[in-house]
Amino acid sequence: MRAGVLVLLCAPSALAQADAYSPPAASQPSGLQINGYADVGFAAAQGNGTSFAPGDTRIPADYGVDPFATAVNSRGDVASTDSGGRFTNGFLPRSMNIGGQASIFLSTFDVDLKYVPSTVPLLLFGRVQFLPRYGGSGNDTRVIVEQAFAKIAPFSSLELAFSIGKFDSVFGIEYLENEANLRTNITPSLIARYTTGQSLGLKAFYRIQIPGIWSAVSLNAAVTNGGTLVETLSPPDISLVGRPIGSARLGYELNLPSVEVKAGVSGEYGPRNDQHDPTVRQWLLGADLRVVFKGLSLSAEAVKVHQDEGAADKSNGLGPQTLVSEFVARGAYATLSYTLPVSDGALRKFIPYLRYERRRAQFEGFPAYTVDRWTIGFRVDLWEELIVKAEGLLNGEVSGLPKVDNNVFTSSFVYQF
Amino acid sequence: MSALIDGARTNTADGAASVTLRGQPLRFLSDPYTAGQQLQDPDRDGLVVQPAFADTRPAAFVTTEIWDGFPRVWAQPLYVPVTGFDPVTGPVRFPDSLSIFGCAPGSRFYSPYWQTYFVTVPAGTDPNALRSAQEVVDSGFPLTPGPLRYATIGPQQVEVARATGAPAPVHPFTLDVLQARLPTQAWADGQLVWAVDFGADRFRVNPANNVVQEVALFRLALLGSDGQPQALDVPPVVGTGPLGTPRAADAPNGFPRFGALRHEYYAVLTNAAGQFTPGIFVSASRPELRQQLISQVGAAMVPVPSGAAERLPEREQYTLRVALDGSCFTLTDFPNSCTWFDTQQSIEGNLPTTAFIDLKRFSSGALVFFDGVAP
Repeated sequence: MRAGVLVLLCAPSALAQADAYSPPAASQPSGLQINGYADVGFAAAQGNGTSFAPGDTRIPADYGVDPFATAVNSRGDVASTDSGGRFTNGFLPRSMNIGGQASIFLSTFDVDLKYVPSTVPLLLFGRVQFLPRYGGSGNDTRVIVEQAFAKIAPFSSLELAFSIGKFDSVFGIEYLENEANLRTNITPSLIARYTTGQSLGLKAFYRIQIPGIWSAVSLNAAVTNGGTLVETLSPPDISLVGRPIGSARLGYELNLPSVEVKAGVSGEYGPRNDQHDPTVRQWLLGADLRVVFKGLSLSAEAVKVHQDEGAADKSNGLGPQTLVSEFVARGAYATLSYTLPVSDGALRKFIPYLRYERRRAQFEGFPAYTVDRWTIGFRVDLWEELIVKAEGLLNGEVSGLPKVDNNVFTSSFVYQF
Repeated sequence: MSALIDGARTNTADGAASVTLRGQPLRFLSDPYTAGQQLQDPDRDGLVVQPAFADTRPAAFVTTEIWDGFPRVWAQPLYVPVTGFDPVTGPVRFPDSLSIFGCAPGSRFYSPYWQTYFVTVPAGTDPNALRSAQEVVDSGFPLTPGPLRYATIGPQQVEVARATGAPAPVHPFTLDVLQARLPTQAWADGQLVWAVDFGADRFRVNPANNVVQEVALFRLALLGSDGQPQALDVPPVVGTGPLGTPRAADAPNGFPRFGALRHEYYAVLTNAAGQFTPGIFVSASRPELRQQLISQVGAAMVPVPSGAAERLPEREQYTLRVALDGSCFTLTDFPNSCTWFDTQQSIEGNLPTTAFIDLKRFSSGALVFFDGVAP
């Protein structure tokens, strides 16, 4: 095991993989470091950019279809959430509001501030994001503090760290690729809405290495306001319900010279933070697997979600809603990618990828529906600073919901600093 | 509606106020309101015809649903199979087919407010092919928006409350004849259901999101000795808009499109009347009702009407109407001498804003009488 107080500094990449994203450590032992990226996209969606079928008059409009399907960027923002005047009840992502028109847009301008004191085992981190948007009422630009936490590793002999503040999820593995410069592909999976949300609270990470069998076991656990659902579904910044949500992942790593295997199980339990009654609960169970072998990478994850019904005081990142509906869902994805060996010139990486995913969901009062999606695309890294990605999303309606033209082509140009 | 009927069986306050079980006395058609006792028809439970006032006029409504803590109610789709549209008579119903409610009462998204969609069904289609919203959506048949409609799903044996042997329901005070409303069959979530249809254009929605527009309903009250409001046992006043924003009564051809979703408030008179004593009008021809009221609120609030008032042919239209100053009942130019609490404007204009207490509950049910019309 790596020893010493500066484990955070000496092994940043390993820790980053298991304990959310942190930018590379400064070359100097202390001081302020500024990093960031910009994500410029271009996308075109079929139809009107939503998943609302023209002949579907049921309401709430967002309960009978998957409004998250037409994602166009790494934040999961969709081309449109315009329901055409039909009542919705807060099961929506954020929207780029491009509708069915092809458009270029700036998804994210990200600035990360990191400070690592030289004399204490601390890492102080903040991430501010500028999200230029245009909506029906004009300029809809937001500035958000996506992360702001202090992390301490109190024991030099243990790979143990505690964080307080607003930080990444601990559930599953997809949150590791929340940021556009880290994500192999562009758009989040259909289950990312349940597992990748940032939240505010306390977190502990512990990992023990077992060198004799090339293995490590880790536990990442958190108690937070909003759990791991994305902010539109479960507000992370305050506790509406007055009780925390617990979440954790138990992971196993096998790090052989030629193959790397990582597997984990995750769970979450607590009150729903989109309402005020602490007896209205939610739970999530998940499992994940990553295998890397000679440039070939397989990532897979599955999750099951249950939310109790509550009263009529629903409120989330989209504002006040109405009924707190019982909700169940399950889904899974698998992504296969291959990193082609290239020269040390401008072209550093070329990664074609393919993802298949499936999601089944049911809201109270609505029949269950199943959707699936194929995603095919590529990522090109030029030097260390530039990334170009393009992908197509082929959204399918398997059962229980009307057919709709909602396939998406999207692309992303990312520069990082 | 079924919940209120069950409530009537277990004698909950809301249930008993909204439903008269079969064979039971009809409250407003029995002592002390009317001499004697009239019973609800023995074969059906009755939706209580609740006397009220709206926009200065006698009115009445039924209550089919009560929403506690629901901030908004919205119109759900109601699919009506048709074979086409006649340029003169409009939609042509698909023979032997039933309407399909987009939401069943078991869902908390159920409401009795419906946005009609006519489903144009090809010839040769099984009349029972469409039995749920899902099947309508999956069919891909063309949909044409139609009128808004108020219809409440419930048991088969229910009607607008009607006395045994009476051919039709009546307004309890004016005795105007009301429309009988009997349940008809329809589909909801693949199941056959019964629904009482109160007709088209009985409410309005916000076009942007189909949320039903509410009106304020005022329950006049006095402050009790404990400082808590005590509701007067008088007809409530149905407003024409939300609290603080009254509008002109929306009633084309006498058919009210307001009042089907009522946000309930206490309007506490104690704070408002100042030096005046509010009065409740009850004709001397209803001595038992006068006596009951006097025992509840004191004689000062139930002045003896003048002879001129008693000679008015339309005096029953004022039964249990509340005036700002009850002394007006004794004047010869009654009813013009009175400032009545019978409109939203009058109540909001004559009472301080502190007089209004939000009961945080909504009640649903169409007006079944307004300004001499029984829609």
